[in-house]
Formats: sequence, C-alpha cells, structure tokens
Amino acid sequence: MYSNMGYSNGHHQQQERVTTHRDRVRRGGRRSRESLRVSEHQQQQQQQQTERKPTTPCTDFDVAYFHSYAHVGIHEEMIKDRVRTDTYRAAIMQHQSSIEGKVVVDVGCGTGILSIFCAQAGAKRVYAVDASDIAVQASEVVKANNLSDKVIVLHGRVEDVEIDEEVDVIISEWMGYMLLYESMLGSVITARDRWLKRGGLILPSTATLYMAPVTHPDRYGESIDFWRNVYGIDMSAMMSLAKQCAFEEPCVETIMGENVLTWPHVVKHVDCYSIQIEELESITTSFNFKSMMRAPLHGFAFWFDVEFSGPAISTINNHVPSVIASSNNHPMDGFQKKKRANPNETLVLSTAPEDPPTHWQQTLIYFYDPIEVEQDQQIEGSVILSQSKENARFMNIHLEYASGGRSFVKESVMR
Amino acid sequence: MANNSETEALETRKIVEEDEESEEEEETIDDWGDWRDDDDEEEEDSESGFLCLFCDANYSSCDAIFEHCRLSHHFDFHSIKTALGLDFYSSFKLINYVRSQVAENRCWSCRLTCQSNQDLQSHLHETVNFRDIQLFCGDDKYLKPFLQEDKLLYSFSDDDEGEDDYITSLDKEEVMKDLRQFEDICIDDENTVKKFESETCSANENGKKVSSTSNGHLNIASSSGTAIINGLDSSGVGPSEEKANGKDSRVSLVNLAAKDIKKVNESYFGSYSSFGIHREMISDKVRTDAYRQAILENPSCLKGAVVMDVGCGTGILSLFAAQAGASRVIAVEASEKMAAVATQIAKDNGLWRSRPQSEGNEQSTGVMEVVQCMVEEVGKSLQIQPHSVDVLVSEWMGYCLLYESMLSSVLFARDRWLKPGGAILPDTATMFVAGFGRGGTSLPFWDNVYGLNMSCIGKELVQDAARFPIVDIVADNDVVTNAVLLQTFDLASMKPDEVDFTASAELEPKLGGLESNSIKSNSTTWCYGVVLWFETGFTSRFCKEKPIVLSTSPYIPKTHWSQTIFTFREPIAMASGNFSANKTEAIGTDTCPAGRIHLRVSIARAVEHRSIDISLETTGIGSDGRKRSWPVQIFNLS
Repeated sequence: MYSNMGYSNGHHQQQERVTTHRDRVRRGGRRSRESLRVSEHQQQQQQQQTERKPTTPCTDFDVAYFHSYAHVGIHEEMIKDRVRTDTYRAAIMQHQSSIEGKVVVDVGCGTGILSIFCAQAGAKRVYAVDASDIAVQASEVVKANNLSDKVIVLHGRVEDVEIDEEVDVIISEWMGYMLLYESMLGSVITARDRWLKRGGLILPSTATLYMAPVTHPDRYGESIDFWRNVYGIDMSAMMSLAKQCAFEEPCVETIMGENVLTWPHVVKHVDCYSIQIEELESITTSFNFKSMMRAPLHGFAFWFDVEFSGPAISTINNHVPSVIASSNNHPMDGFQKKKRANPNETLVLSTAPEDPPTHWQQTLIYFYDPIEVEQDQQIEGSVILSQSKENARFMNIHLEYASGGRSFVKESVMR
Repeated sequence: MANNSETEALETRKIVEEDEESEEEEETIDDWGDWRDDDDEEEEDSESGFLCLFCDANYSSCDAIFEHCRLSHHFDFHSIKTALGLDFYSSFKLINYVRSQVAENRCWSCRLTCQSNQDLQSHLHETVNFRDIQLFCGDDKYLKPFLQEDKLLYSFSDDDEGEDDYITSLDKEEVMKDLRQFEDICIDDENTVKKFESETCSANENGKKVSSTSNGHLNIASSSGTAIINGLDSSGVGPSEEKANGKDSRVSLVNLAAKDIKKVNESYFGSYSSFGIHREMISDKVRTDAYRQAILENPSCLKGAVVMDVGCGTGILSLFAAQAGASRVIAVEASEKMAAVATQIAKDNGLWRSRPQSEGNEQSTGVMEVVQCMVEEVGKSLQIQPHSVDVLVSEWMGYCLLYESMLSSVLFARDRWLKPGGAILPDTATMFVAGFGRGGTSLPFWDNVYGLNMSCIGKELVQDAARFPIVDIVADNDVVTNAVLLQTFDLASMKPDEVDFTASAELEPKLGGLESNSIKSNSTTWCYGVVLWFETGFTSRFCKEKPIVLSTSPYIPKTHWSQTIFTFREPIAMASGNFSANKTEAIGTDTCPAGRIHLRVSIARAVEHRSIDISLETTGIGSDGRKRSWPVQIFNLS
C-alpha cells in the first residue's frame, strides 16, 4: 500500500524548514541523504541488532522524512562524528600559539562547539556566526559553560553581520558531501575577505576532492540481485526499475579501502587562503586510471580530505599555484599527501575509504551495469561538477568514461 | 505534417497554462476546441500507432513519425534513405538496426553507449558519416523485426507520397488523458525497462525532464493529431489522488493536469522513493512473514478460493495466495507502473492467468490476474459479480496505522465484492499506547558533549518535538508505563466512517522489572510523551489452522512502520503506590507525581487527503485523586 507513501509530504516538512532554518537544512540535506541511501545497505544489519537505541542514526527509509531534526538532531549526528570533532579539536590545540590571545571567527558555528574549543585554547575573543536559529542555542550553550565573556554569538549571515575588528583566525567546518555539495566554503571566503588579517590563520587551510574507480559486488547484489528470488518468487521484473532507483543518483554511503581499484585522482584542490568563489562554479577534470586488479567496475567514488596547516606553508602555495596545479596530474601526489601520519606534521581530516568512517562517508556514482576490467586496464574520462540551473543547491555531475573500447556518459544530479 | 508555427503557439500556450493555474480550466478547453474534430475512431486505438524509434511517442502515420524523428531526434529517415540509396530491405534493416541500438542506449550513428535513454536522447545528433551507418546496419540479422508487430516496417515504403493530410483531430477527452499523463511521462525514466515493451508496444520508456517532454508531446499533437503517449504510470500517483481524478468532472481534470505538470519535479523525485518502499516492505520480514504464514498455512480459508488483493504493489501477497491454491486471484493496483511489474512477475512465475478475451497465444496455467485501476472501478475492467470474492487480502496499514492508509478502499472492496461471510486478511487492527521516558528523547545525548553542557539544545529539541509526531523506534526499556489498548477495528463489521475515532486510555507507571532498574517502586519516573503502535490480527475466525498476529510494538523486532512518538510539552512525573505527595504542589511535578495519566486521543483524517490529525488530551491524576489537565496538543501526521 505504500506505493504512494508520501515522499512529497515529508518533502514539505523539509521545505518548511528551508525557510526558517537555513543551516539545519543544509545539514538536513546531509542527513536525509544519508538515511535515504544507507538504509538499504544497513537494514539487514540493523534488523539483526537486538539492542535498539533511539539515538542510533535512523536508517529507516521514510523515517528520514518524518524524523524532524527535533528528535535525534542533525547537530547531534555531526558532533557524534568523533573523527570530525576530534580532528578539529586537535587542530585547535596544535595551533594554540596562533589562537591564544587572538580574535577568532567561527563561520557556521552550529552548536558552538568549535568556538568553545577555541575559547578553551585561550582565544581573546571568538565570534560565532550562524544564520540559522541554532545560533540561539549556541548562545545558551556558551552561557551554560560560562564563556559568555569570550564567545560572542552573532545570529546572521556572514555577509550581513558586523565585526568591528580584524580577526586573526577563521575556523569553519564548511565541508559538504563530495566536499562541495551544499558547502559553506563561500561563507568562509566572504569572512576571509571581510575580516582576516594579513598572515592570519584559516582552519582548515586546504581541501582536496578525490575520485577513484570502485568495485562493489555486495552493494550491487543487495540492490539488484535481491529481486531474483524473493521468498522463492522470481521478481526479476523489478530489476530494471531497481537499477534506476538505486543508481540514477549519487549515493552517499561508506565503502572500504578494498573496494577501490587504484590510486585516486585529484579532482580539485582548494587553498582556503587563495580560492575565489568563481572557481567553484564549475570544476572540470580528466582522469586516467589503471585498474590494479581484475574486477567488475561498478562506478566511481568521491571523497575529500582537509588539512590544518599554518599560514606560512599555505602562503607559499599561494605564490606558487603551479605546484598545486601540477599535482592534479599526478594522482600519487595527492595520495601520498594524505598518507602523512606524523603527528608533528599537518593534521588531516580524511574521509577516504581506507580511513575511519565519518558522517560524510563517500559519495558514489554507480553505473547501471558493471564493466569487467582486467588488471592494468585503463579507465579514462572526465568529470564536470557544476551548479544545477534547476536548483542552485543541486550539483550536476557530468561523467564521461571509457574502458575496454567502450565509452559511456552518465549525467547525475546530487539533490 | 507538423506545422511549426502551430507547435510553437501551443508550446507558448502550455507555458501560459502552467503559470496561470487558476484560469486554465475554461481556457484550455477552448484551446483544445480547435483540435477537436469528429474523428472518433482513433480514440481508443492506442495499439494502432506507429512507435517512435527513439522515445515512446506513438503516431498514426509513418510520416508523422519520421517528421518527429527528424525534428526531435536528428534522425532524418528520408535523407538517409536518399543519401545511401537504400532499397526496401535496406530501409527495413535500418529501422531494425536503429531500434536495436536504442534499446541498448547506444547512438545509432556514432555508436556511443549512454547510461540511459535519457542520456541517449540528449546525445543524439545529426548524422555525420552515412557510410558507417550502411556498414553498421548491413547485417542480415536486422531483417528480423526488432519489435514484434512493428507497424513501421510494413508501412514506411507505401507512404512516400501523399503525406500532409493528417488532419489534426484530437478528442478532448484524449487530450485530457494525455495531459494527465504528463506527470507519468516525466517520471518515466525507466528506459531500461525492456520488459514493458511487450506490454505497451513501446520501444523505450521515454524519460525526460519537464520541458523536453512537453515539447515532444506537443510536437506529437500538432504533427499527427493522435497523440497517444504510452506513458507508464508513476507509482507516485497514489490511489487517492487518482480517485480524485476519477470522480471529478472532465473540466477539473484539465485543471488537475495542469497542476500535475507543475508538480512534476516533486513527483519525479517522489517516484523513486515510492519505489524504494517496495523493497523495504518486502525486506520487512516481520510483515512479509506474517502475511505469508497467514496465507499459506490456512488452507481451509485459501484453497480453491477467489481472492482479491487490494493495492497489490509487486503482487507478492497475490502470489502467496496463488501458491496457497486459490482458484482465482484478482490483484488490484492503481499505479500503472506497479501493475505492469506485478503482471510481469506473475508471468515469470507461471502464475499469470490470461484473460478469456485476450488473444491468448500463451497457455493460461496460472490463476492470477492484475487489474490496473482503483478498487472502486474493478467492475469496469473486469467481469466480476458483486459479492463473489471469498477472500479479501490487503496490506493497507500506514504509519500510526491510519496515515495514508488504504483502509477505506479495503472496506469498499468488502462491501462491493466480498461474499457475505467472506474472509478478510487481516481481520482486526488494534492500536496501543504507552508512555516513554527520558531515554526516548534526545535529552541524554546533550547533557555532556565533549565535556560541555549542551542540555539547552536538548530542551529546545524536545519542545520542537511537541509539535510534530515522530516516526521512529522506541526501545522497549524506554517505555515507562503499561501499554494500553486504545482502539480496535473489526474489519469484517466496521463501518467506513468508523475510521475516525476518539478513545481514552489510562497509563500507570510500569512496575519495576528486572530490566528497568531506574523505575523502582515508589520512586518517581518522568513520562516525556506517549508512543502509539498497532497490531493486525489474522484471527481464528478466518485463519482456523494458523492464526497470526502482526505486531509493530516496541517489544518485538522492528518493522518498517517503527512506532509513532508524541512528545508532551513538559514531562510529567509519575510514581506508583502511595506517594506522600505534597498537596500544595501541582500534579505531575517532582514533589507531587501523578499516579496515573489519563489520555484522550482522537484520530481523524485531515482535510488534506492522506494525512491525519491526532489530538492528545492529557490529565494527570494524583494519588489523592486530584487532577491536572494540560492544554490539548494537536499533531498532524503529513
């Protein structure tokens, strides 16, 4: 009977929030996508769990729509992402010398947790800016933790609020799915251009979006082969619909390192000190992978990492953009960069498949039908990421790829 | 022949209509009046069309189709034919070649493979190299018709001349029908669904975005006059929505159609979610096992019976009924798309019963038939006597039992088709209510976040929750009161209007069990709200061998229905036994906990169809009998 189960209704509910809680919606986007897509993946797992906690991120398909942020809370989910929060906290401590006694602005502060970390690290003053109503709560949180004298919550857009001094540090957790989907990078750029002192610090300082070919027979099987035998009934008539349903749009889900067929390719490197908003409108890259094994190629995965390095290093980058540009052509570069693990060196928050999972997971673009690739077989093509004309919040992904003498085009929209 | 200016005019008009929703009613009819003619014979004859090589457009003539292909798909049959000097057989092969390539989403001219028909459609381009094409389609295998009964193959040669005179004659009703199908077409992105081809005579599902579809569609209208779109329905169009269509006058159909166009984007997206739910429902083992056992393990009920499945979806319950030995299974599904899938599944499993009136080259071995219509209209598409069904089976339950439920359709089917004394599976539905504690909220999480006190956020979230029902799982140990039966429906005897109800329940603190150390007797427990769930019974009334209960309670493994959570504006303190209450304090506070909570719950279908309103009146009763009532809370589940 659920054939007409009210997505649209749930949608309205979300819409309603669009107008009032910008930030929540942004996060809501993350969250609902996640619940939507991961649900199938995790359902069986979930069902086996006998212990059910209400705070487990809900994986129920429709729950995402009915489940207002009010219950579990999007911010809760993000804060629970320990990889994210711990890395930010560690980065703040690592740069304590640049923060102590200084003025900080936290762009899109949410619950205010990063602002409070900065205050704890000795910041003279922290401006916590958020356009959504969560700012009211952030202000309460600051009060409850006796930091009202140091943390000033500003409820409004970065473009609109006034700060009557230059700031030494910008901190922000602006990254969206696939790095740029619904990201707040634009607000960070605005804050930088409005308030940051020369030589000031931006955390994170750089961000890199990667892509790699992946094989994922289990996922394919669960979504598609499932219909071959349902309670002994042949339901393969559903398979083409199932493919359409499962693979038309990008999927946000967690894969493993072993799903990745070869070294990743750098799609876009962002230096937060120098990036201009125009660069983000459309991103084009060409790739050429060589599969390291024989496997069915099911699609491409995208993920990102961000670095928390000091201004000095990035200033160099700033002056020598060609260094970065050249790294685009050498996937190995990006990969090695990410692999640096020395605690004295730059801290990296990675959302790569081989690293601990985060709430960003990975973004996958699956093919409707897999391509069998041999070891060393080339997979080449190009990707264009651009803002959708249909809805500025959406991201169009135009993917062309060829392997084994056959070429394909896949258009998808990240909604 | 297509008249370009007319096409454009129409397109413009279309845009205007989309913008002026309120006015299009009359206007549209007038507009289409120009197209009306006395040509009725085409009207029903959707089979007679010539199918486009690239999309699912259907035309009444070869010329119309070639013109459409030239304008919309950069495929100029006549130029190619001339350029290559193709004879009859070569042309024949060319058509089959193109169809075969399109079926694989490959470009017939440059051989690029696209991911979908949609991608292919946008890829199609002017022919670059004619010679290559001759090479590609030279193979004799293309002498074999790619589509069965491809009318184009048998007509393309004899209408070389004398084109031009396809008077545009559109029946108004048909136009409306087409308009209504706008939504369907737009959602029809399932270009890979080859299975449907045989059903609908369509080579490819046409998947397009709104704008391109409307263009294509209007081209059709102007160029041939018989615009028959084999748009397969979206499952996004719900039965209730279609019900509205069916009941309304034609005029309002047009109105509706225009609205549908506006809604296309939403529905386009929505159709996928509604598809996803089928897998989720089937994967819901608690649900599917309950139905399966009830159907398969009660032969006295099912064996030899005539069964009707209301809202069959994938048809799984009908297939169970067929496996259980039913003599005839009528699966009713309003969504065209799901009906087509259910039909195919029935065939694939050898359970399809072909109808007597169909040409029937396939042997009818099965017992199952799928009727694509509203349950209210089964009689129109099927020969069936009233009160001739032995067993009515349906999975009609929605969230909180009644949200988007199909219960009224089931009751309609009961009154129209079921034999007196016939069986309904399930035959009872019961709603329960219980109070939940702090663990059922998000408060505990916010108490300590990385050493920070963020409880104010938790409080805010709980306040928000007091305005919206939440569909989610409640852990059994977060239930802090007894569970109380709120309402029972007997599907065999209830009246349709009894779906809306008001009922009362009295909640008492759960006695401290082994699990709930936190609730020791005589200690205070806080009740933050109530949780509702339901059970449906396949009782021994009809299921004599094996009665079954399908429960969605917090105490059993979770189902896709979860539970529905209603949060109080403020928590109510409760304690059992004789609490030495402070008589000056208000009931439900820490110092004067309530011994019981009296609830009055009303559930009514809201004005907005599909959604339901739930009102909650809460009264705390102290151990001394004093009462305190909180303001009524209204929740809307939509």
